[in-house]
Amino acid sequence: MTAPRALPVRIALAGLVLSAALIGLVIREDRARATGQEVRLAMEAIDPRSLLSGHYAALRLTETGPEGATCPPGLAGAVEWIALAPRGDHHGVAGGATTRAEALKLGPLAVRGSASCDELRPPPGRAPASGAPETPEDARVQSVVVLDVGVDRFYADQDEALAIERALREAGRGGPKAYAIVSVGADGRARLKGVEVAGRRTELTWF
Amino acid sequence: MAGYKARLQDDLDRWIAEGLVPPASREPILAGVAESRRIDAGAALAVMGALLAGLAAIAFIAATWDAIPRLARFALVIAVFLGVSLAGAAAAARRRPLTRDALLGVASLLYAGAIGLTGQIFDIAGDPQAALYGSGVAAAALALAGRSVFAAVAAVALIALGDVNGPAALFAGELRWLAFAAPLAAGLALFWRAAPLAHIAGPALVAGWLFATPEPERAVFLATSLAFALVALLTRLASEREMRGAGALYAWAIVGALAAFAVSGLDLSETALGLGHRLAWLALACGAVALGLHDRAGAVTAAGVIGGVAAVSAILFDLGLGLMTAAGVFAGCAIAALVAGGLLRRRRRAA
Repeated sequence: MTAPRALPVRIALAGLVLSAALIGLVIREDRARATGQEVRLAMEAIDPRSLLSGHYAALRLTETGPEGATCPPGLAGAVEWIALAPRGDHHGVAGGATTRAEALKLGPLAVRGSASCDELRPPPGRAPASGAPETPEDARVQSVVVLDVGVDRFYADQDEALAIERALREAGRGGPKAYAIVSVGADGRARLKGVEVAGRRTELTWF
Repeated sequence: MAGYKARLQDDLDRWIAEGLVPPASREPILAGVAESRRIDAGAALAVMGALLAGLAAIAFIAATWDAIPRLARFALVIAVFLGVSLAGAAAAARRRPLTRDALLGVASLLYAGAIGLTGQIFDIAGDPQAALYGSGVAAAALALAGRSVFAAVAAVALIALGDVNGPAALFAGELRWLAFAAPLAAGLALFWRAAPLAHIAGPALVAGWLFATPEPERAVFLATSLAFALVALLTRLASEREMRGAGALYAWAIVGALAAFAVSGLDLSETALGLGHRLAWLALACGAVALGLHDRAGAVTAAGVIGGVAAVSAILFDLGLGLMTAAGVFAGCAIAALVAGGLLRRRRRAA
């Protein structure tokens, strides 16, 4: 029995097509990342040591609102689109919806993902933040929004990862000084471009 | 297990001793029967070695390689995959089917690793289910292009992993990829006469159809049970024609038919209809045992025995361990089985 000549050609062709598909994916993602709208999303450095594992920085997109700020609308039920709105030097969650059109009514930018929100009440008898006037307990409610847009880790080599860890530790709990730099494409998907910790920006490159 | 040629050799010796076949015909008859393909220990070790090499390559690539630039890492990943694929093509050109098969299996695993590593190298966010499905489709493409059983096995395994790594729960009643991939793999196993593929396609078919029922309703599970019965019928015919892998698919189809029938009456517990369902389940399990014994298919018999034990347990559970009632039910079943057996034997004698 003779082996068909077409068999080696078919195998080689399959290998080449699959390789080309992978290269195409990388190019397409890179283009989408470059052309998308850049936003900075707050990362909360609760415990910098636990945010790093191996050679990637685990990103937790969490933002604690100011005292008196309640949860954004639409985050209680099923959420597929998140509305983002500018808040000073970064973007924050303005609400959640099941469709893009509904999300765009809540904020100028919509991204695919989900979010949850908890309202934290201070323990009874605890004094308000320094400098703040005495307020009723309800006015001292703080909302904590955890955002999931599919961006949960930033791969870096060991030195870079350790540097990010140190910067996160130094950033402390004084406010959202650590940001994930995300590109929101026309398809509504979020793609990570880099991280910014305490003013130091680390971006993804080809090299 | 003795192959067909070995069994024929024994039979020929007996027939010659009984004077049914002339001794001179022995050698021409045996020469006309092809020796079944056997994989010797050396070849089996070579296959295992190739698979382990593939796994080692994945582990190596997955390890952190900080000093290499991202683009070079990506080029290395592609080069390794392409190199193994082209080696498979070269093996095909040199007519080494086992090497070709093993290399394409390794290439499938490498591609799955390459997808994950590409995501890591360029921080491409993606969901694990899509990555596993993509790997499965790539493995299927390699399997079909190179007629590789190992790549096909990898494709089924990766698609099954993709199914269980989705956002929906296992019992969410979502139609998943395995429901379509498993019958295709089963068909391919029969077409290629590939026993390893049949051994993974069988359980994949059961899992794929049982867990991917879009509407988890009684009628749908009954229809699924009938579909499994049809598959059992077809694979039994294929098994009778000594098609490799058909026996395994036949046994798994019986498992699926009994399981789907069992699930169709889960909500009928402690009702009159429920008792009827359990009795029918028990009768089907007994039928599977009888069929397995008749066909000398041990796995089918085992499936029937397990189904029977499960049906008896369900009856006992439904009756709240009312032993007198249970005794009556089982006595009735035993009488029915004895009468059926007697009638079958009488019919055989009459024939």
